[in-house]
Amino acid sequence: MTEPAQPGELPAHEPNDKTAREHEYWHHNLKIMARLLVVWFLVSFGCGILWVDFLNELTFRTLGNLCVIAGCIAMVASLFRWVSSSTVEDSSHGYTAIPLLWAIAFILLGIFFGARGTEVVRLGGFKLGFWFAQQGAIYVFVLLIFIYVKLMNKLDHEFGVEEE
Amino acid sequence: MDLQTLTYCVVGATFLLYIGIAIKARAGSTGEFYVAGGGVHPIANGMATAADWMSAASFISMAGLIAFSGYGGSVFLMGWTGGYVLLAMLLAPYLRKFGKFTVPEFIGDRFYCKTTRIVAVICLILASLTYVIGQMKGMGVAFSRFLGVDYNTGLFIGMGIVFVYAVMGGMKGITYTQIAQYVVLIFAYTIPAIFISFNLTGNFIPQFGLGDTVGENTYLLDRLDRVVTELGFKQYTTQAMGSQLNMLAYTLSLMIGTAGLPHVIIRFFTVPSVKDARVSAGWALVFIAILYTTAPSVASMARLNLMQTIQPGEVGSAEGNLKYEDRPAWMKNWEQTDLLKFEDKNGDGRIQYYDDKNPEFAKKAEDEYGWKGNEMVNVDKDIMVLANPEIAKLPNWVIALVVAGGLAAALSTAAGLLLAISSAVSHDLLKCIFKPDISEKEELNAGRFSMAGAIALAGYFGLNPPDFAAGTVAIAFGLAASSIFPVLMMGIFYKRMNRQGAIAGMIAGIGVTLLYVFQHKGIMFIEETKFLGSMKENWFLGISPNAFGSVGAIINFAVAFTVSKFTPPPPPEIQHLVESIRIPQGSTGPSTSH
Repeated sequence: MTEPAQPGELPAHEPNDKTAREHEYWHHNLKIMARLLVVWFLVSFGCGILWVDFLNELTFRTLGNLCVIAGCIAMVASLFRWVSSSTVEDSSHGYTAIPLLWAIAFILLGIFFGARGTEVVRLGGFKLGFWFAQQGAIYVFVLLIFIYVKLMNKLDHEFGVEEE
Repeated sequence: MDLQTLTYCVVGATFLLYIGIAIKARAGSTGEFYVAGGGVHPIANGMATAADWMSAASFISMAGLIAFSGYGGSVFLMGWTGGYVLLAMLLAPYLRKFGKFTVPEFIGDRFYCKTTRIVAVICLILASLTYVIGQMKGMGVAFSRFLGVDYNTGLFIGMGIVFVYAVMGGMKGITYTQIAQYVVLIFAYTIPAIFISFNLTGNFIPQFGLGDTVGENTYLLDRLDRVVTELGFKQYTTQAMGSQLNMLAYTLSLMIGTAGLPHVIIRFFTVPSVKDARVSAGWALVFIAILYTTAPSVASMARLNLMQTIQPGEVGSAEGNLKYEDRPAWMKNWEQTDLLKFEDKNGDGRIQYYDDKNPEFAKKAEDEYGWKGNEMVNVDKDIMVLANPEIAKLPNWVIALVVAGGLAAALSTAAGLLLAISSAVSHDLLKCIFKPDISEKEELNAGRFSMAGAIALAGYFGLNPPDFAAGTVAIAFGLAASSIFPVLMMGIFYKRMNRQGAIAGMIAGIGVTLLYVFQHKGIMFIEETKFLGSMKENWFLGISPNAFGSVGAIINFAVAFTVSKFTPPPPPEIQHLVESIRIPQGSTGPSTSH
């Protein structure tokens, strides 16, 4: 589906500077899209359907809770970094990996501390999975489109392919 | 002023507004008729898209559907919003860059073949027509129930209004009326929701009220879970819709179906630039999300109100159920329409509403409580939104506003669909296939003429609803998901995709989807002709017919890739076309010159 651009596929057309640049632009475009669609999948099909029972029944004690909250913040931060790093060069991968490691560490720590807890993790009156399915996913969808717009405008500018 | 007069005033005022806008926004050229001249502000287009998209089904039916399916109803919430993410990233900007008038036009040019264009026109007309019949029916019902005119007259009034602004103004008239219709429908939806949320939870914002407490220290959703399980129903917050695979497939079908519906896609041809097409999809989703995040609150609150009205006391106690004679006025009103029906099966003069299909609870109810079956024998899900203001005892003007909102939702969607149909006929069939040398003025007139024809056809089907009208969702979304979305996506993202692959893929996708829908729901939805029965045991991997569009799409992709591998690649100029739509630079307004 997200077929990467294949430079040199065009017959009878010398690959010049302009087409090479356009291929590079397209490649970045696909990267932005793919990363945003990963988040799109995670919140709707993931949190809303596949892991809904797990999220609904997630139980933790206070210390575990704190760890998981920290883990989730780190997770969101790393996702955000990951998505926004798709316009610039690949050297930024380190920025993504570090908060992601923190996120995993915190969540594991939370499970370790809170595994025998009795309190279900909730968002006010919402079970977590139910909230994602009926509210959270929609908010994230809106955010995703505006992040996409912002990243694409930046990319258009970087490659000088904006409309007049 | 009594309710009837007030409703006449409010509905009449909104209609005058729509006609006033139509007179101001007359279309003078084909560009204005098909794409509103391509100069619509992205936020305005977002609002018009939201009204275009949110039909009578979203406005009236969805909350009721969620109220009775609980968590399972999330497939509609996620499916009908998540499609916009796909639309914004995968289709809208590129199709805008292409800069033409219709969806079949892109398919025809990209696959360098008139046959693909005709196949696309057929898919488009089939999907849009089944969809528009539903809107016409909704309008007739709304008129007949609230304005005291009969169904046919109601339908004619609705057709007349659409005729005035769609024929005169084309896309331009439709765009500006849709903006007004969005405002009407969103107020009509949120005002009762705010009142009900405040009454029940003390929280003004319905989205937050859903997670708030009722009474002391009990969360609304916990209370609802307890109330429904006590009566044998499945727990509200975990009640799934079939298997997990079915929910995944259903959500995916609705998402890609949304992104592939032509009347939504053509809205993005009306903005000035590629950049605007992207941001406009974002605004559309913002305006849609206002209604879609309110709907689950309306659903759960309506369900809780209904359960507590019928079962005010303890389950099983002799005094626990509502006396039939003491039932509130709104129940009496709706009983007259047959959409709500009670039957005192155990003859105790009280109403028992419980899940008698749950064998364990039904046995207990019979042995211990003396209940002889569920006595609310019919409750139409559409009642939930329409009766909401009455249930919450809101003033009459709110009820009148809800009627105007429902009509606005039906009118705006109908107009958008009719435009998609008429532009496919006048631009794709007439201009491209039959009479390429047609002048612009003639084409504009042809557009108006085919619009009038489409309205008449939709009206005819509204008056004589065919059996397949009941399967609107399955057909429209199934077709869009299994044919239009994949072919558009491959046209943009896979340069090597050729004519043969596209045609084979479309036919395979539609074929499989229609076959599956028909074998379980009857050919053209005529019950007797279904050959595998609608029994769940016969469902392929437990996937319901409504959810099968996603499987059709996968088949479409697979067949198209395979066929294209064994057939020659598209000519170089087509590959250049694909390269050019991928770059925003050099986009122009939609032009008539081909």
